[in-house]
Amino acid sequence: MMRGMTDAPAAAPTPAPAARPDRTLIVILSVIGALVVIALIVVFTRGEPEVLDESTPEGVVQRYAAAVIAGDEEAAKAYLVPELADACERIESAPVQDMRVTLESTTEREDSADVRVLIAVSYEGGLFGPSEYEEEGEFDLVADDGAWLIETAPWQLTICAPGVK
Amino acid sequence: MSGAPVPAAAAAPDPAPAPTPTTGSAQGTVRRLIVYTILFALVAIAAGGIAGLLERLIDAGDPLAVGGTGGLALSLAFALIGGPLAAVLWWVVWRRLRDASERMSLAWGLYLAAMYTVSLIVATTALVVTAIAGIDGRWLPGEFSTGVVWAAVWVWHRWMSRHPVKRPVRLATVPAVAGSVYGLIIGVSGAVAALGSLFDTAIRGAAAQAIAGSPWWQGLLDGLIWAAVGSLVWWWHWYRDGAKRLTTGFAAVALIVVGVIGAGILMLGGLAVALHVGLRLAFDPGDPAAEILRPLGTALAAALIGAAVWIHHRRIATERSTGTRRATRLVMSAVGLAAAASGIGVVLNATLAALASPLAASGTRTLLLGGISALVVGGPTWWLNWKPTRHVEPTEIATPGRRVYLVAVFGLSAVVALIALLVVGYRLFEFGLDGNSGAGLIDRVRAPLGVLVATALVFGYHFAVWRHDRAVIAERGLSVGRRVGRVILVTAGDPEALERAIGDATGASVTVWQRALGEPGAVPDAAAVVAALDGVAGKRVLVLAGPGDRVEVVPLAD
Repeated sequence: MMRGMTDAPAAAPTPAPAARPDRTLIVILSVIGALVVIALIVVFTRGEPEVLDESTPEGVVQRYAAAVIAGDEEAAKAYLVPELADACERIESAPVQDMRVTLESTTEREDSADVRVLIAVSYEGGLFGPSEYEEEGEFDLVADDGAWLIETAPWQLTICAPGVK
Repeated sequence: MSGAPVPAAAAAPDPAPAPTPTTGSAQGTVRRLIVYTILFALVAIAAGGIAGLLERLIDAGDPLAVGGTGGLALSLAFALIGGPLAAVLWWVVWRRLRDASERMSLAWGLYLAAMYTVSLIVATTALVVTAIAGIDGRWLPGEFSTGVVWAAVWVWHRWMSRHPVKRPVRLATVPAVAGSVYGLIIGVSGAVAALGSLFDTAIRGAAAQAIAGSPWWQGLLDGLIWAAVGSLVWWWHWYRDGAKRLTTGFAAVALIVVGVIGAGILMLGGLAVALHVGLRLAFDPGDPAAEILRPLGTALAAALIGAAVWIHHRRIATERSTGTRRATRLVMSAVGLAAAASGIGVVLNATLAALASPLAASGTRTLLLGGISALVVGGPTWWLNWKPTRHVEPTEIATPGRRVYLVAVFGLSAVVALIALLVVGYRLFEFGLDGNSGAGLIDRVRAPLGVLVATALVFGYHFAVWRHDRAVIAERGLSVGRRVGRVILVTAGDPEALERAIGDATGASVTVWQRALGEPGAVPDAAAVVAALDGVAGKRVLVLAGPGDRVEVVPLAD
């Protein structure tokens, strides 16, 4: 291909510059290996999410969300306000497999509270691994005899149609 | 319209006798562009109108269903106005094609390739939809008549594209390549759907699918019909029309992009999903097995069919030329690299997800196992194609393919890393200003952070390789890239043999400038021209070939 251009120095292959990418490669492969090992350890040793106090708004939201994700609608209904739970017109929540709910912030007032959460859903992505999308959601809670009950939930986690008396 | 052949082009004196001297003039180019665009539109309109009329003819049985006369009026207008106009314009065009300069025009080749491909796609799609509905017991006269009319359009354009005299000189092989690519795509999709449905039934049992709705073999049959039609279209263009043996640039690009990259992604994607399912069954038993197994059938089908298609095309690509062989290796290593990098990003993402305590979650393991399967499939693919430990010959280091690959990979990874960095920064500032919980912050940055780290690793490695390559090139004084970028060939007579010989020998693109002198004259031997070009370097090189044996090679200034 490159005939007649560089004939003279072709005899002595210089090994020195070839070592550089090799070292880079070893470093990068070790980083990847370490990353995978740490990930396996962390993910497989991590237990259930830390349980929050049931008397707080976030504790109620946590139990409700866990029940919906587990598919236990009866248990979830126990955390809804009676107007919603008693006349519950069941609607199907969004698919809850591979869903993850993280607490963003809580605003607590005397007789109501807002709990903002981040809802992340991952889905199969073929060759390039799973992908995720995330969305913010907000729970509205009302105080009820020292406990908290959920009035509205983000649509992904709603199991009773709102506004039905 | 029908009297004089060219009412608009008043400047053209008399189109019938002698080759017109306006070859390649701006006016001629614009005229042809407009004429063929109008012809394309008129043929499409006429075909739509005739299909509409045919549908009413076939479906005359139920007059109650006719909702107003608007549709009929439209079909009549399209067929009765568009049809004759299309016929007249075609007749004018067809008469002019006796002229060699018309046959050599780009517009004629482009028109024929476009209409050939469009009519093929419309006809096969409509006929397959009719067949599938027919099996289901429904009769779709609209689809059927569309299919029949467009099939006629296809036959007509196929006849023109193979006409012994008037077929186009340029882009003459594009219809065969486009047809083979289209056939391959629908054939493979159909085959994956059919085989996937079969595997699915076998894996999960017929009962899982047959709770309600159409029987399990419905999906299989639909897929088989698409696969059969696609294979026929592909076989026809690939073997009968010889798209397999074409060595044009377009054919090479189609071979690499569809046959190697497309089929490679299908095969590796199927493997990655199948591996993910296996890992989830073994290590993540949270979900019911039926749920986990759902994607397995299609994944196995994609892996098998993708592998068959990939092996077929890779063999052709490795045998065709050094360029396509290197390109095959490079694109496969790019696919593997992208999958592996994406997998690393997902692994880091899953680690952070496990570290940040969520309120409620169903499985970080699924995410981690998905990342690991992408890494396990992509990593070896990259390793086997790139072979990072081998000693690279200096001549290979200087090839444009390798240089372009390195610059593209580290350029793209730098862009992706920059975007990920901006997202991470945005999230951090948002957190600082809003004061949300720490878990929320980690959840928001983990995905872009994973991408950032993965692309940084990719960037680091390829940047090091690129710098090493550059050092070798500087040290050895190698010239990068092809020696001749473009050859301007000035010749009389038929330039085709010379053009091909120069292109094959130098890899340069060749522009032909015909001599104004009318006499055809003897053209020098192709071997003599190639010999004269030996050792010549330059971005643009002028080659004067003929008359007689005269060959003059003039490298031009940049």
